[in-house]
Formats: sequence, structure tokens, C-alpha cells
Amino acid sequence: MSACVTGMGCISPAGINCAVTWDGLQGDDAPELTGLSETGQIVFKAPLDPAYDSNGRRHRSVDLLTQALDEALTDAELNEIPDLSKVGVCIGTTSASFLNDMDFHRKLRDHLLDEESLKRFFSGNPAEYVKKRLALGGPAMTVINACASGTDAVGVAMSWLNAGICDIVIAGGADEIHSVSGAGFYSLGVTSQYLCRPFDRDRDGLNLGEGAAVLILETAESAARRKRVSGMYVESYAAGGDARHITQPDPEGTGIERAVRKALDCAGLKTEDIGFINAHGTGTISNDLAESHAFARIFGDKCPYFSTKGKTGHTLGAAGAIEAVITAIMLRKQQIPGSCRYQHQDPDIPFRPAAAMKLTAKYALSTSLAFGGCNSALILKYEPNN
Amino acid sequence: MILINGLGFCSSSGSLMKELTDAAGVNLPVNDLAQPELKKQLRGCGAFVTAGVRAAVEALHDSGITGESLAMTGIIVTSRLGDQNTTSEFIDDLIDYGIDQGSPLKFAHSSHNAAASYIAKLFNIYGPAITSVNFEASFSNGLTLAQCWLEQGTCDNVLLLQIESCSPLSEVLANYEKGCTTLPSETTVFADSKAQCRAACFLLGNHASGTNHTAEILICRSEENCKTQADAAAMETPLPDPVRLMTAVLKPQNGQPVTISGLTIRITTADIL
Repeated sequence: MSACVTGMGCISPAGINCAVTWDGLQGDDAPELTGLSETGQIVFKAPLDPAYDSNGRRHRSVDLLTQALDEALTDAELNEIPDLSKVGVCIGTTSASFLNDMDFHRKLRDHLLDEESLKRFFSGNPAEYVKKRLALGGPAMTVINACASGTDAVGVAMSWLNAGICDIVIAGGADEIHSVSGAGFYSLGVTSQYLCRPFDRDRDGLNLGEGAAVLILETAESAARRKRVSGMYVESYAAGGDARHITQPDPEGTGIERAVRKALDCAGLKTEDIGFINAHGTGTISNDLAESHAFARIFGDKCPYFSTKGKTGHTLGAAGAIEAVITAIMLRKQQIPGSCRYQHQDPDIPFRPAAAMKLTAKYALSTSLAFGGCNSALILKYEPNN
Repeated sequence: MILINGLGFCSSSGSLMKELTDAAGVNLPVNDLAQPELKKQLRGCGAFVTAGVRAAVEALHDSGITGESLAMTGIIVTSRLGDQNTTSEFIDDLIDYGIDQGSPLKFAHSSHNAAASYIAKLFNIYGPAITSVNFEASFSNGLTLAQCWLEQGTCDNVLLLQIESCSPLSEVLANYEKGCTTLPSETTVFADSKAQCRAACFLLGNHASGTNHTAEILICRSEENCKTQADAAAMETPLPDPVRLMTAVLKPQNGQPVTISGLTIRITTADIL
């Protein structure tokens, strides 16, 4: 069963809201707020509205989430929620789930307790924060599935809607650029000191980014009751595991293949129904190989695919949600931007990613791969006259 | 219909099932699985992952389900705090040796979903895996999702776990939640991934596996009790909700429902042994 998307909000290095994100995805230039991490790697910052900047009182992830949430609620005309008991929230993140404040740990080693840091930690669980802020009565779940968290949060929301637990679910993801996760990705040798080039022969790693995205998902009955028919749907979600390695994806992409095939099966679609693929496409050697091999086996060379991470950076736990929103924006525009900074074909990648183009697409696929061998896939549908 | 087909309750060093059955006043044979192969597979892991894997091994052993029938099992790992110890150990290296000197092994294992990853790899499980960290209703969120997955045909079985750390750092966090901001005076090392962790695991399914612990359960959402007894108890014991449910499965109380955060669970039939 599909879910109606009745509202969306998004902040990423590609733009401060949904309306400007399309323009931010064009061309090969670096995003406006590009800088260097403490380890000298390129990072993309999100243009957080100062009105949402808590100046450290909350996690920056939560500030980003709040901005995207307010945009989505306004878009869905949900500023007054009819029945709070049937509204749930599911948010994916990585950094907001960790007690990863280095000052807290420095002080603790000196036998001092940084209460401000603990206050921020205990009030910063993203789903619980949204639940309290909006006084929701439904379930609140924070998904920590590494880089697939945002996609999986949408999947959990679909399960709740299908089970009748909720009429409306606020689903999304939020993550910030954080010195500890930056140091972690640097230690793994997967970040680049150059602008990332997903799927390119000369790609040498990812650029970390930050942002948040929120989708308001509703049952058809709830959307009809509120006279909110957008024509945008999450048609299906599926996940599949690699069962192989704690950080490396299966080189052949068998896990993501399993997830995509199941998502197609759940939606009752054939491969030719998918108009384009917004790939995970991090710009690391292993991710792009795994993903492109899976696409080739499933779709042959027929389905255009690309990555938007050259403009958003890898926003980790937010990535899946941001890319779901971006996929919806592209379906509405019937246009894709092409894979940022792609120049040279990698002989090990079965076929080239797409260039910018107009197209006619009713369905599109968004994929996520993550540490732990987690892979997930979302299929979105746009049917404006339905 | 949701069935509990297997139970596991472990610390990072071994089974705690005897402790649980003794406390419940039931006499059941318990195997403590000390497998050399398991020890080898887990040699790079901290206590959080080790406890979770041990509990999953015990629950699967209890259920008798093996091999290819596990392939499309779902895995749901829940936790109130996640694996903060491994993160802290990674951060200690950054503080001691510099921001560019983090250990890739520690960073890879600090992701809260590492336990689900190890379980999937050990048993060749290719189904969906979700890890969630919530201060409130952590386990009941997982149970609700497991019910959705089984009823919607997402997978055939679900391994549902809750894993919690028991270290000086988690003691500091638990004390803070209770309003105590005094640090233990003797402690100098707060992050210790080798400290004991505890994990409870349920193997849930739509069909009875026909072996040891089988109980049919009926789950109802009841938001009213979401923040009452279970969350208060969570500050006293690391795994109140799963232990309460496990105890009720081992020793049913004449049809009395079990209440955990946000859920009322009625054990409709139980067939132990």
C-alpha cells in the first residue's frame, strides 16, 4: 500500500528549502558553503536559517530538523493537527544519537560533569524531540541505520500507516557535520580532499555534508479527509542485507539488488516503469561499483541514474530523506540534473550515469547503502491528476 | 498471530537465562553456548555487540530454526542509549593522539547498528535490519515494528533485541537521568567497551517452530502507560521491558496481560518445553 506525500521540507548544502533546491543541484560548481574539516577534507555546510540556530543549546542536527519540519508542516497545511493520537514520527540520524561531544569527554576524564552537554544529549533524540514539540500521540522512533537511516525511517513510517497504527507520519532524517564522525570517516580513508565525483573513473572519496528533510506521509483516507491531494506518493519501500562486512558493501551489490527487486515487487512494477534512479552514489570506489553493478543487472543500460551528492555532500543519516525529497522534486519537474562532476567513464562501471535531461517519468527509485550491510530502496510515484 | 519461538538473555560474557528462570521460579534446562567459533568471530567487538550476538545465538538455538529458513529473517535492535562506550573509546584516541589519529576499527564498531550487522553475517540473514535508539519506549517500538513486518509479510521471522551497556559511563548517564550529578569518585576510565553489557532477544514468527519456548502473544497499543512504569524502571534496571515480557512467557500469570512502555501484551497460549 502506498502513502500520500502531502508535505515536504528540505535543507541541505543545495538549498535552504525545497523551492530553491532544484537550482542548487545544477552545474558542477561547489556548493556555496564549502569548507574544510579539521582533518583537511572538503565538507559542505547547509545554510541554516538563523531563526532556527539554537547556538549550541540543541544539536545542530535538531536545528536543521526543526527548519525542515516547519517547512513540511506548512506545505502540508498541518499547522493544526486534527487527531494527534494517530500521528507518529520516525527520523533517521547518526550524530544526534551519540554522546559525541569531545569537550564532555575531556571534562569527564578530569572528573568534571558537563551538564549542558548531557542536557543537549537527553533532549536531542530527534523523533522524541518532534513528538514533544508537537505533542504527538503516536509512536516516535529514531532510526540509527548509518547512511540508510533516512530511507529506513520512511520505510518504518510506511509500516505504521499500513498497519493502521497511524493516519499521518512525520518521516525524515537529520544530520550535521560533526568533528567526531568527520574524524571517523577520515580514519577509514573514504573522504576526499577534492570535490567528490560520484561514478567517475577518478573518484577518490566522499565529501561530508549536512542537512535535514521531512516528508509528511498520510493514508489516502487521511489525505482525502483533509483535502490534501498532492499527486506524490511513496509507492513502496524495501530493505535487504549484505550479511558480509561491517563497513564495506558487497562488491557486486547483491544487497541493494535484493532491496530494489523487492521494492519493485511490492509496488507491482516492472523495471521499465522506473523513469530514473537517484542513486546513493557517494563517490567512494566501493559504493559506486557495487551500486552500478546492481543497477546493470536489474535495469540493463536502460534506466538513467545519477548522484546528487556532488551538491549535497554525504549527509549520512539524513541522506535517504533528502534524496527522497529531491526525487519528488525531480518527478514534479520531469527533469533530472545529471551526475555532478562526472567526466570520465570508469571501465569497471557497466554504464555511464545520466547527463541532465528532461524526461517523462511516473515512477522513480531512490537507493541507500550503509555501514552494517544495510541497503534500502524507495519508489516514488507522481500522478498529478489522480 | 505473533509467536515467540525463541528466547535469549545474555551478558557479554555468557548466558543470564538461568538467573532469569530462577527469578521467575521455573526450572528449565539452559544451555550456555560457549562456542570457540563465536569467540573468534567476535574478537574485534566490544561488549555491546558481543552481548547482542550472544543473545541472538541463544534465541535461535532455543527456537531450533537454522540454515536457509533464516535467510529472510528481519533483525530489529533497540536500545535506550546505544553503544556509547565504543564511541567514547574512539573519542579518547582523538583526545590523546589527535583528530587525525582515530582508529578505523573503533569507528566502524561505534555505529549502533554494528550488532545487527554481526548477527546478519553470522547467520547469513539477508532480510531487513533496523536499529533504533530511543530514551522512551525503545523496546516497545521494536515490538510494534516486528508485528508490522510479520503481519505485512515483510519477513518470515524477526529477531528482536534490546541491548544496553553497563559501564561507568552508562552509570553516569543513568545517575544524571535520576537527577544525580555526582561522579563515582574512584572511577578514572569511564569508557570501557569490555565492561559488561546485557541483551535480551526474542525470535518472533507467524508459525510455531515446534521447539522449546513458544508463546502466542496479542499486542495492543496503549499510549497512556507509555511513560509510566517501564520508563521509571528503566532507570533501575537496564532491560525492564524485555525482561518483564520474557518472565511472563516463562511463567504465565493466568491470562494477566503484561504492560510495557506503550503496549499491553496478552499471552494467549504458552507451551513451554
